[in-house]
Amino acid sequence: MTISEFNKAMNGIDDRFLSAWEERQKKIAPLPEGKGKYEARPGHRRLWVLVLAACLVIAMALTAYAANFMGIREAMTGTLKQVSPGEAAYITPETAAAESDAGWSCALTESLYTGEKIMLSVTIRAGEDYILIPAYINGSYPVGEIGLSGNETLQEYADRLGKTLLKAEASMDFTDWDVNGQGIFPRSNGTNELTLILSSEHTLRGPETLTGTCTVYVWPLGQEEPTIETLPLSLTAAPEPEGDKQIFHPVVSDSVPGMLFQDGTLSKSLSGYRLQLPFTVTDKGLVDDYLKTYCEELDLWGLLDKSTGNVFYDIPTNDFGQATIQIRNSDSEVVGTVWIVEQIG
Amino acid sequence: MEDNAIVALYFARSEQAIRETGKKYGAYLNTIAENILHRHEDAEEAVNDTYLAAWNTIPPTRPRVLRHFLSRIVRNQSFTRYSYLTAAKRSAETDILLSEIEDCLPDGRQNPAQRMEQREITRNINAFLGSLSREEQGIFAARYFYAVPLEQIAETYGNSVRQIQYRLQKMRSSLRKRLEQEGIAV
Repeated sequence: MTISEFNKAMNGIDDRFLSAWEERQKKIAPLPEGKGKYEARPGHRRLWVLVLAACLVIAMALTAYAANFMGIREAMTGTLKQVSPGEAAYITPETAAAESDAGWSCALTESLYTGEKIMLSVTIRAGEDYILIPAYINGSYPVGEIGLSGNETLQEYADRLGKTLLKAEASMDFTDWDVNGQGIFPRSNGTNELTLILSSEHTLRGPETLTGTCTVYVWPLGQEEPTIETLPLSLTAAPEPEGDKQIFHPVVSDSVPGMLFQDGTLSKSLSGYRLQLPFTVTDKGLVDDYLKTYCEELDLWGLLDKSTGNVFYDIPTNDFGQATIQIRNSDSEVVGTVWIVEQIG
Repeated sequence: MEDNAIVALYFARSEQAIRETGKKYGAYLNTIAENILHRHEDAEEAVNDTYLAAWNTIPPTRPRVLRHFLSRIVRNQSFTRYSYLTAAKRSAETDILLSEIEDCLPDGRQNPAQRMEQREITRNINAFLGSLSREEQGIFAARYFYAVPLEQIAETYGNSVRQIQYRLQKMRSSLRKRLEQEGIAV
């Protein structure tokens, strides 16, 4: 099948699926300013839940590690987002926890704030009557989604055991850190425990300390409104790794049409080395179509960050004295190269 | 003006039908076209072509839901126009959207004889969408029918962009499996 055939086939999808998007837009449109997707819990219930949560915060904080919650390293092992040994040294135990009156509890277990990256592990537990699943799946997905073997769907499995599927989701928010685009990675540990790893990355170093919250949403499959718990968070950035910065000079600073490169730096990072090559845009019309960068000598793809005006490379070693960096457009064609050479002395 | 009245104008061959369509749905159609083409001039032409196509199609067609009927035409016009744009005029966002679609397409190039009729593919996509939650149906339609940017979908559903990307990826992978199981040119 071709893209064009798929596009034509999509033109025939039922009106009810088109309405699913339109309804949603209508649904969020009339909300008064400051109200999000989720409604706040009624005040009188909130008070006693807070009292209960406060008691449980202490109890759960004391037992979190004893109960063997999954942490960041364990959850991310074997994935592309595996934590480097340098970063792992700054993983910090967390203790905030809460218990919902809806029959589930949650606990922050670990955090990592490198200055450029935040990772957070939050574990959600539910009673024996529930099967916890990540929010993006539903009952028609196979049980393999939560690490079980077999050919049943989650709904069939839940029905057979007389249990309820419970969806869980979490997000983090900080006053001084834009979490737009934060990632969420789920790891099931049995049927009624789910660990969510939240992550957010910036290209430039953020504030030394961050204060914010982690919000956990849980709701039975098929119901619209979740029950919500909010856990407080305070993070301190890992210190910047020490070591001299190597300077790399662009031999021809305007060798890429529309861009003017300045001296770049190669500095130690928690996961190896980071090359940062700043540039200014001299022709926005041209640069708008530039998408990515590639370095042949290092065989690495780099990040072309037009918002900060930098090319970034995360490199395992610093044993090179020069590099040729290709700038590529959205069709992956090389639009120009910049040759950088280390400045000695 | 009510949709029925607009359709009646088309049937009466009154050019007022196009003016009323533009008044009621012009902005909506323009949004869909701009989502795909990302160039105001091209979007405007796609919308104008949509009015013409509607004029030529109604009658004999009597649209059940005029809004959806028009959105299908403008989407078609926009993707057709997009395929003729030179690389320099193409949008990175739409290229990304189209490369996402590639993920869920069983490779038909190897067995062109096995290509199924369009309506059979549509039937399978409808059956697949029918198995999703209302929220997932909305996300899929937003991205692959209306070509809505990921950021806007994320905001609408209170998710992060990464979450939406992940959910779409899971849906594409499930759709691909389904299409393969149904014997659509693997």
